[in-house]
Amino acid sequence: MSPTVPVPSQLRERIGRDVDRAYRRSRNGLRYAAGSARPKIGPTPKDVVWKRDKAEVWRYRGTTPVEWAPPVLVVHSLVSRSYVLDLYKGNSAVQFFLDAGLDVLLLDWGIADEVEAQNTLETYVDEYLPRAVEGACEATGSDEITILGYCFGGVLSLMSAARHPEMPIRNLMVMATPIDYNHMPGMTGLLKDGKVQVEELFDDTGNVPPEALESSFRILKPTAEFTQYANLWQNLWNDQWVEGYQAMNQWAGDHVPFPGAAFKQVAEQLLTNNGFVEGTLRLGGRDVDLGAITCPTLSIVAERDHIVPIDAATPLPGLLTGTEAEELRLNAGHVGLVAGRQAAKVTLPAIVQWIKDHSDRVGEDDE
Amino acid sequence: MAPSKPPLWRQAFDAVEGRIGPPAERAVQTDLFADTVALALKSRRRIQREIERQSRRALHLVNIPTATDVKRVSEQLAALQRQTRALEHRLAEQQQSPPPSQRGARSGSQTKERSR
Repeated sequence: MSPTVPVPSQLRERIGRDVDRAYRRSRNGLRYAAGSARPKIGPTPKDVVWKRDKAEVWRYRGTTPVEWAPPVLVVHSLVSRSYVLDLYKGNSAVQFFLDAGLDVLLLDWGIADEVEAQNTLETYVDEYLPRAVEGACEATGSDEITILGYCFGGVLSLMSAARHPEMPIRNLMVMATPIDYNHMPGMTGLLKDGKVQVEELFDDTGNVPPEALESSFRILKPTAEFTQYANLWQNLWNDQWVEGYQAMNQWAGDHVPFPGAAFKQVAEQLLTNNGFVEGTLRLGGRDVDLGAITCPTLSIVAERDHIVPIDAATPLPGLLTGTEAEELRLNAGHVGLVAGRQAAKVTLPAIVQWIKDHSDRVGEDDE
Repeated sequence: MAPSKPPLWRQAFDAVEGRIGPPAERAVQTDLFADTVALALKSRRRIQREIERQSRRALHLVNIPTATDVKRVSEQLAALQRQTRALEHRLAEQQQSPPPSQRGARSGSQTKERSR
């Protein structure tokens, strides 16, 4: 039988560790409560290379020479802040891509207010996105681009690529992108069943306020907040863990208003009519035919995504009849696709590999 | 090396959360919950509207602008800004494309630029 009483050296070691953790826990707890020592978010240096109204394209500056072309333009969602892709030093998808030798740009939509309340899906799909792609091409000197749409950014990218086949898109990747809205959970049902009218969600600015979006996500996992606090208490002694928690927590509570007119279209065309799957999606008086997309396309789905469940994301390849679309299933959550340890170990390397497989090495065909 | 066991308090928490979590997640997907949320939303909006109506009457009586007035001005400003943006865009596009008389002469260089 093994002894139950630890030997003195083990006991000393254990007491020492517990004392050290208690000290760190108190120190980090104070820092957390005071809101000091937060990691710097969005640390990768960047330049604004294109701008229209509040929409901007940022080109990130890396230390690794660019080895792959065309450049990658990340299209962010209209719901959240884009710094989740460049969270903090040591946990940045953007930095990961730069280190892999990619030229990385990001399309950020800014924060909508009264002026953007009348922005429709056409504003983003027909006006901003094609021009942003043109701006990104001009800034990088490239004649084509790889698009990586994240979450609702993927929806916008798909719509834009389908409506503008002339856009110089070499590859299209969409990540955690909702396609089949019959499988979308939570509050989407309220709008779908007509229990709540879209206008009832609008605030004084005519947009859907961030609080409404945030609570619709939170409600999906009612006990998640308590679990987070339990995790925080358990790991409060770990400086690195607390740093990540603070950054992620800041982002999770940092949603942006969703432009009212565009939301109304989303509610009618996607949530109620399930436009992508039913083929009924119409913008600007024209059908949106996903079959018009002919570039290589990758749909990245997260197996543990509770915001965009796997069943809501998987129908995409079947709808892309004009190209051989691939699907990459990754063992991650919605945010875990782009941030956190799992992202650095599993998801980002897989994404980078696909990009490299569908790109050219710089200097290979320069003749 | 086997992962260390979580502390006792955490094991207790996980046990409770494991029992409460899944039923709570199912509960928020039910029609009853949706109806409750819809009712709460509608009630809040109705109360808010009523408060606004009453306070507007009182404040206007003493000639003080209300949130509704501010909202109206704000909407007008937003409309103005949208018009300015549209004009800016039109102007920028006109500056980028040459006048009709020069279009024929420059079309070649434009094509060249695009195919670059």
